[in-house]
Amino acid sequence: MKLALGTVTGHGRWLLLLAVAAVAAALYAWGAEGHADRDHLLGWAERTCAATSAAFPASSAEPVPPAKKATVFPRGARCEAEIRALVAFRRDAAESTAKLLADAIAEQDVKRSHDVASAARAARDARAAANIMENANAHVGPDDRVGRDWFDALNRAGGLHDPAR
Amino acid sequence: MTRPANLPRPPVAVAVATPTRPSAELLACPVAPAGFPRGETATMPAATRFAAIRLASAYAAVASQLRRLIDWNDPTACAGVPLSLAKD
Repeated sequence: MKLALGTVTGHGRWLLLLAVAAVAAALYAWGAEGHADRDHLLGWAERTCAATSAAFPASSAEPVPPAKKATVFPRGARCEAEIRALVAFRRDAAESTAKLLADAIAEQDVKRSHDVASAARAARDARAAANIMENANAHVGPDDRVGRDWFDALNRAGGLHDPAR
Repeated sequence: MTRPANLPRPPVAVAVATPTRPSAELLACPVAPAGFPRGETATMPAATRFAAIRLASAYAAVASQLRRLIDWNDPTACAGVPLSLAKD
């Protein structure tokens, strides 16, 4: 080293000094930028964690029996766990909601198709009963006497059961 | 990252199906009343006959609609009871 410096003479020394100064200035600027970045990230972490109600700094929790030692959480551990829990919560809530909706739609479809079949059957039966009633009514003479056939038809049209049964 | 001990449990998803089932009383299957006696004869003017027919048909229609409404809410409530009251 001494030999290397010894060979540098005159303007060479100044040039070397300049080069060393330039490197030092660059290192200084790099360090300052690193500091600024770190402060910025720390601020961001504090704000983000404050929003989750789990503070960023390291903390400890009272021991839960049978453990005797307090649990120590490194800086950001609680906050990270909280964020993960929140993300999982959002995912689970969306999944559960989608499943509920899909189940409700499927159930509604089944009910609707059952009801359409029931309505068709009921309409068919009502039509048949109305025809029989009309027939029985047409057979009533001018004396307006009604008998068994007419009452049977009326009971059928009303879905009423035979009182003798 | 594994979960550190002592952290609060993650919240449980809150999608909840709300109960919409009507009360048991509303879901009771309609029972048709006894109709007119079959062995009797009567003198009934046309207007009276038509009124009786209207009443009977309206009762059957309402009972059928109620039955469908009950089936919609609880398919087991009227299980075993014939669908149409008008059927013999």
